[in-house]
Amino acid sequence: MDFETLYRQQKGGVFQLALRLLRNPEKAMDAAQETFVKAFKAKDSFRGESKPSTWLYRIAYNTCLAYGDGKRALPQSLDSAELFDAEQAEPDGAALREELRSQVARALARLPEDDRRLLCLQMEQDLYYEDIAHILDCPVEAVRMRVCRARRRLKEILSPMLEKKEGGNGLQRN
Amino acid sequence: MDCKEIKESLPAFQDGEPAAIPAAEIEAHLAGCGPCRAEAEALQQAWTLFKSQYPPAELPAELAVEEPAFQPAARFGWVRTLIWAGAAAALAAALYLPARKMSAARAAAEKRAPLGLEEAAAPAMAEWSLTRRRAPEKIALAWAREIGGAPE
Repeated sequence: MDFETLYRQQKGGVFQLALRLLRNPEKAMDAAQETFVKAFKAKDSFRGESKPSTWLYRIAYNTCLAYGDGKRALPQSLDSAELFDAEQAEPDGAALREELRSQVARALARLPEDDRRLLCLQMEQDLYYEDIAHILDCPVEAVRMRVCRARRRLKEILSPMLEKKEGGNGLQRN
Repeated sequence: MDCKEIKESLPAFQDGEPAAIPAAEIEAHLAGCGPCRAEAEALQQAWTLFKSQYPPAELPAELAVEEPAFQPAARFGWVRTLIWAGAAAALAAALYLPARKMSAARAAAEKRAPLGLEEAAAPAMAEWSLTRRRAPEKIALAWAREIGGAPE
């Protein structure tokens, strides 16, 4: 395995993953550096049972778990009527988007942390279910079920904010 | 197939991953089922909203460098390589030469002293049996008594 090439290709992705998991830039930076130090020390133990990037992301994920998830306090219960106040009160597009973003963030705080971490892993474009299964050390079928459950919970939590579109066939691929 | 199975397969289908139900069958079902289509759209929108919470961040300066900080500078890499190669060769020689001497000494010792008591004793026993003229099965016992060790 060419470690330097792996470092150059994946340093961005590792940092982005750490930032999503830890929600703190300083911690994410520390976790990313620690990931590469651990990976460098363990590079001779890589046996090719997965892609090198998947092996690296597994180290990154476990390193971030050790750092803690930066979980914030849960918000008070949300009144769905409040969620759309911003649309009437603030005509400015940027402010509206920011308000919506903070509303989504508050709603997402209700998502179980395991689900959130799983969905953060899914955001990495190089990681398929098989890769995630290797990172989480579980069968691929378990990943499929957990993703289904997490995405349906996500939909339930965000349902007040989802646009109701007419038509379409829901076939958009991620 | 029922809508419950279809809905459970939707996230994998939307991710382009193999699902419990083939993609073509899911597509055909969605084309004709309004509730499942609405579910698929809601899942897609929720996923898009989730991803919008994590916009790409700029890489910190410490990670933006081309060379990892934990590796030594490569400026005089060839010199370092030569030094390490020489040290490795010296270490190998230091370990190999005594081992070679040792195996040579062992081989010489084995030549002088053949393995096994029977082999060592065979010439002596042959000569002894000729002088004593006894049956072979008694020769071994008598011989053992003579050299000491076996009871009378």
